[in-house]
Amino acid sequence: MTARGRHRRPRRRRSIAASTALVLCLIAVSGYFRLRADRTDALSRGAPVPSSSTTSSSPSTSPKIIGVATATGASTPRTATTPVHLTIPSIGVSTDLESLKLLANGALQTPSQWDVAGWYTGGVVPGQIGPAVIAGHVDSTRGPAVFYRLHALVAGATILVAEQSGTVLSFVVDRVQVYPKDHFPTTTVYGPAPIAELRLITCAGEFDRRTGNYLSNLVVLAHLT
Amino acid sequence: MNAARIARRLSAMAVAFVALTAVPVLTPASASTPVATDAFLRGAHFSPDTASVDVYLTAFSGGTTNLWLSGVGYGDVSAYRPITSGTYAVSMRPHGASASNPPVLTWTVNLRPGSAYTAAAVGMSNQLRGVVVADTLKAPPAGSGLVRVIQASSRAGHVAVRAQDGPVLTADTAFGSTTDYVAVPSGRWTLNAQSSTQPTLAGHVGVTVGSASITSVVLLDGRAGGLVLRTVLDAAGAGGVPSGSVLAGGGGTAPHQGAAADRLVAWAGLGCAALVFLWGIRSRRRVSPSRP
Repeated sequence: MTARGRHRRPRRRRSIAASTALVLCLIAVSGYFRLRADRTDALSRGAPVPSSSTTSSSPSTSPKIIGVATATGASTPRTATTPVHLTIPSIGVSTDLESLKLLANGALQTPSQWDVAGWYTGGVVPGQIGPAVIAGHVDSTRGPAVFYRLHALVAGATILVAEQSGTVLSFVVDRVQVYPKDHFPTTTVYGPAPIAELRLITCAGEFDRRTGNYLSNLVVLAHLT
Repeated sequence: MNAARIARRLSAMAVAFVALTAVPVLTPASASTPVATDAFLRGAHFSPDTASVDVYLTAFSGGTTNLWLSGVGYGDVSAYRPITSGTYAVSMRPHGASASNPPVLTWTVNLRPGSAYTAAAVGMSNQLRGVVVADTLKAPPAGSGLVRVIQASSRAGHVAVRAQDGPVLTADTAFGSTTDYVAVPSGRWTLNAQSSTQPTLAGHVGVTVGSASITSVVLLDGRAGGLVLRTVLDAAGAGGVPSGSVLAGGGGTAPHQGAAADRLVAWAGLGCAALVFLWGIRSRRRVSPSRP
């Protein structure tokens, strides 16, 4: 009895150590893949989503309550003022906005700094009827940039745009979609909209190391509340 | 340690492993975003001799009636509301009347996804009717906007509207009707309306047609007589549309030779598991001979 007990104890200790090692090993491996999924899940985003997958994050789909809107007469557009700051509380984004124009080749200029987003001045002013466009980098050549967490936005999230005048406009996210760059949805992003809308654009998907470009764009579509 | 115990422990670990690795596979799906609103609707009052109204909306799927617009007077056009596509009943009651009173007018709107509509009361009060006008959201030709005419002036009857030194918007439109859209080069224009029913009745309005904009011109009976033109911006797109996609990343967080790294980690994990498994078997065997 005593002899057996003496032999058992180290064995038990050894098996406990083995189990611990195995569990730690499994946690490390799964942790690695979880990080990888977080980084690349933007890839799988977009495209019509399986409708069954969420109920919690969506704003009420009930069409019943539309709210009361006071009818206005002729269109009296608010005075257009320049947007200067963008805040997205749910993903910790807070950035000033630089001005973006068209490049010589007709493409949209991107911000000169990795950590600052930019507003496309040739489009619509945020808060005015139509789609206002703000673009930002997903990463720099070394690490995350201003729109790194954009893929984590969900429908119903709030986006705040501060104007030069001090007014803060509140937008609500309708959807987040990923498009291959050779099928960029120009009409969806820049085409006519009947209310004040906002688009946030960054890169997503596979990174092509030969050209130094991502192969997809991630677009957040939101409207003024 | 007996075989059953080892098996139990290993199977528990297997379950833990599956649970841990399954989580990241499931997480992205939970972030998907269903579309709550996919159509646009606005209300309008185009009946010259009808007092202000409250407008109610009832979803066919659901049935609850809600006050939508309050105190809508002649010539008013509300802002668009994002709404879930489907069929709704629009009803109008005199402004301030209880929701339990019978409405003076009820009609049905069928909203398709991705489209915008105007639900309007038109005609004189003794012939009041509800109409649904489909509003375009199509991008106008480059460098131009789209303009149409909504004829809500009972006094003017049949009317022609043209942009001064520019395109004709309509040669003849009757009270209560809406014309098709006409492309107008972007810029500042004066729109002239001339009644053919009442040759002395004419009016004009200045309008800036933005590139990629969509505008309605509403013809109204002036309060003090005459013909009044009012412009409403229906929709607007980005004036200068950038070509192609947006290059917004440096690649610093892109998985570096991602597939290879994944394989390495996966094999390391498997190897680790195999080693511990063998270790378990060995210690079990060593125990066996000493058992009774």
